[in-house]
Amino acid sequence: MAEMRAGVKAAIGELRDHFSQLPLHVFPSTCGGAHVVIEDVPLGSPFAQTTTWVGFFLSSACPEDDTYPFYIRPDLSFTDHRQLMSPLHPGQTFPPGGASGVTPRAAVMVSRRQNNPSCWKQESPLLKLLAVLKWMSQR
Amino acid sequence: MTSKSELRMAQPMFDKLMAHLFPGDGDEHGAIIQAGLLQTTDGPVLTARSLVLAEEGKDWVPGNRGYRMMLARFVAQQARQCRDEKLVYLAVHNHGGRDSVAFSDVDLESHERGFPALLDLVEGMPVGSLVFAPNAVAGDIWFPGQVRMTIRRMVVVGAARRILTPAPDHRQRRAGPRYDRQVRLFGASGQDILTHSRVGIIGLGGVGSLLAELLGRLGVGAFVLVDPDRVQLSNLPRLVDATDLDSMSWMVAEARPVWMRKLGARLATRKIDLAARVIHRANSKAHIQRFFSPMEERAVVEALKTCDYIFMAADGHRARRLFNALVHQFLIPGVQLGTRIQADQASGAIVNVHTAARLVTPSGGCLLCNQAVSSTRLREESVPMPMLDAQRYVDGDDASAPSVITLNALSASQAVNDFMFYMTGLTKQDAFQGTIQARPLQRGVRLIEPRTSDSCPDCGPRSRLGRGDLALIPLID
Repeated sequence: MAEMRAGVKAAIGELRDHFSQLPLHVFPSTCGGAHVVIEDVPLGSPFAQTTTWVGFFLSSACPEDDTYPFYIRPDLSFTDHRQLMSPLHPGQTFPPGGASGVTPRAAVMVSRRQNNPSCWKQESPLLKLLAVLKWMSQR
Repeated sequence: MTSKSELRMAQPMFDKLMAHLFPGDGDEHGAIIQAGLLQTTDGPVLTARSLVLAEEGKDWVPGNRGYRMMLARFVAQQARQCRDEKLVYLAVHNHGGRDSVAFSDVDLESHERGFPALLDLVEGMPVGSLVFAPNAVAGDIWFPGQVRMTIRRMVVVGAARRILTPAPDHRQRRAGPRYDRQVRLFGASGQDILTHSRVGIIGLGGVGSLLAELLGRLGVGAFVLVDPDRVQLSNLPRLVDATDLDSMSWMVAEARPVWMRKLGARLATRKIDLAARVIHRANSKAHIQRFFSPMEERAVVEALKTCDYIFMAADGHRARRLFNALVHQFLIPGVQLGTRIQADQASGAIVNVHTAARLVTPSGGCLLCNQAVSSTRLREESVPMPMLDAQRYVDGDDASAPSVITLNALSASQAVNDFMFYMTGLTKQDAFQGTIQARPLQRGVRLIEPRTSDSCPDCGPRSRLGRGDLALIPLID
């Protein structure tokens, strides 16, 4: 197993600092990355549920690459009963494709990619997660 | 003096330094260079990162023992910054003369008096001094542990490469009849430069194969070849000297059983070995280091540190990302080559064909600033394939891109010409330094000016530029 890359370790440290009150699980991958799961993350008012777990993968290119998609609780629903629409994709599994040592969970996938090619934007996994949570709270 | 090291500097810093040291008054002037440090198999390399000019009468004053000196306050301030940023402190001044230069006894005595204390101050980094004449430089570099080095040469990375040494090299060069016709272009000294040059070729596919042929025929003396793939049947129209035997075509034919096709694919020639064969046919004396791996390996990075030039002919954005970091961190110029063939999605008609030779140097052409690296593509190339397949919600285009040897030849020949004139010092100082895009459907050429961004992590003011080994390397560390 490759040693976890410095960028992955730093990103995990940043996530731990920010979510210091929440359980955060790290599952090192064979290629120097890691699967991360954060429990009990608050959801915004549009959703019937108050909290969710959030799972995602930090690749060996972290923090150079975009961090996406994120995976959240499978029973996510809007308080006003709207259907979940893209980029919220129900019926998924975390981790996608399976991963040694990580118990699979049914999930909704939230796929928000960086789509602005006009500049090089290095966004840490924490900042990307916060941006995605903010985006969700505004649905 | 126990050994020799190299100093690399980008042209804009060199121009600024020369203008400060030689303003035409015939006097001595001073400056401080903060440099990165690179450990290589050829010895240490210093990579000039920042230049602080000593202000006349304020930082640079009449000396107590010598003619001029830098004030202790100025020295201490710059040395502390070197300590904090893990950079090498280099005090700079100039002497008279033109093509030769050496430290005076007074200079060397001042090193003996001052450098031990400076070494303590910078806590583990080397300190040193450089003395310049307009066409020469000498150095006295002190490393912790009483190791002391001179500067073997200084490489100025600009439109054309310039080499400064302590004294001119008057050896007579003779190229012999083999290179007679090209020596008539750049002289025996130019051929000698190529013979002693070392290049990296990342990706030995359609473009890299042509680069190997062209550089081998030019007489380049040393190569680092990097590619993780073997020759396939569909590569044969584009790989120089490739045969059916290289692709094991009789074993991988569709009619063969699966096990035989798999075996044939495993027995096919490695692309690095094919390229090495091509180079050795052109120049049997060439020294070739081969890496049957992607670029993102520590051993590859170590081998590339000593290259004079890097040709980026691999498709992936991971390789581009790493290449861009190495150009800026180690001050090694390079070129990124590519071909793009765009088809109309509805009709399939070809709407655009262009090939590009994009110069990437420490002072221009950064791939991050010029949108040539995508964080999304980095992501796709960095997650395991089963994961990528499982999370794919929009059908990706997995089909192989179109590729034709004649288009590859456009960018390859442009890039090798750029290299040849850069190395031999013949490129005009005001030569265009951006991307040359050939548009064969229009029989035209487009010149694309490179952009820069102050927030860039590779080329901006707070970037990895010139930091040497003491900055993390993306995708490696």
